Amino acid sequence: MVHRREIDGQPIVFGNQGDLWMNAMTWFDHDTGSVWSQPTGEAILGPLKGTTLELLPSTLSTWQDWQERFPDTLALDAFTRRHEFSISQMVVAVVVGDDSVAIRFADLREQGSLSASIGGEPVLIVADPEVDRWAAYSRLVDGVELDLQLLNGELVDPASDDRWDVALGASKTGALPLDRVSAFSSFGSDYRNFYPDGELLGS
Amino acid sequence: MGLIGSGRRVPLSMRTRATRYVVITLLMALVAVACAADDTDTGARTAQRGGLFPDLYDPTSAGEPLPDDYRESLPRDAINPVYDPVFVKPGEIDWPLDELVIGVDLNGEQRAYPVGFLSFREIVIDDHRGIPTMVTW
Repeated sequence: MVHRREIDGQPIVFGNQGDLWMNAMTWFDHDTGSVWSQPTGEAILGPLKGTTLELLPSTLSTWQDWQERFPDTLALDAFTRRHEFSISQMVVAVVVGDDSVAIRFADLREQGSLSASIGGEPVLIVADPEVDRWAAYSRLVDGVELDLQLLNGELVDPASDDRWDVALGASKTGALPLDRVSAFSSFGSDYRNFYPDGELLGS
Repeated sequence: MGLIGSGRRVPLSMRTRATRYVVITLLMALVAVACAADDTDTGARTAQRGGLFPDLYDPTSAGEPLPDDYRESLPRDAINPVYDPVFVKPGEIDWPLDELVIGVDLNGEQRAYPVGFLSFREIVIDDHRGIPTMVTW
């Protein structure tokens, strides 16, 4: 997950609290010592209790796919260890306010895209046709709600014939770019634990 | 937790994490005992929950009521975040091509954080072209 570590416009440094809440990671902030929950991004103890950090858009993909999509990417100077799972086992979750929707990546891959209204926001979650990667966009463009469709590897608005790149949300026809909405990858069981009211779609 | 698991009822990653926390806690307890043999003050400090941050407020040692299912495990930063990440070009690292990465695309710049590294450092404190970010697993 990627969060904006900023409260009221002030950057804040976080550390690892080392405790587990609902079997999940906790942080502390260096300013107040409040304790935060990673999956919700919310302070659960201390002076900032109830404050929530903004979740930023990020994606999970293989290093090969990410490099092919973004050849100019920077890489964290770090070594790696082997892991034991793949993207197809995970769900893609979008959270808007108190509302959230998740779909298993394997199902998203099969159906191509998912349109949903989440917390009043019209959202499109789309699987990249070429690689094991996904993106989530608002379907509001310039205040107009679009009925975006995945056609021939592009996102298309049938009303205007405008087209956008799936991975970047950049317009290919001179329209405004699509705005990303915050989404993250998770395992289904973890999603259910932290978003019990959320809707988990797919088998 | 890193929002990972295995889809099983008790996600593998969570069990792994919990086990790791227990092992590290035991090691720290041993260190604390060893220190206490030489210097009681040092041993006590090592055992403090605040870890490297003895003067910072900690709700768990201040006696705040803890939520259900809250487990105190390790001192602060016993699993040390990356506070000063360094970034290089793809040609300068040798990750396996099937390595999973968290990819972030902000302000026209893309950064990749390998899961195989995040899974044991857990937190990267970053500044992404002026946006203060925190990448966690």
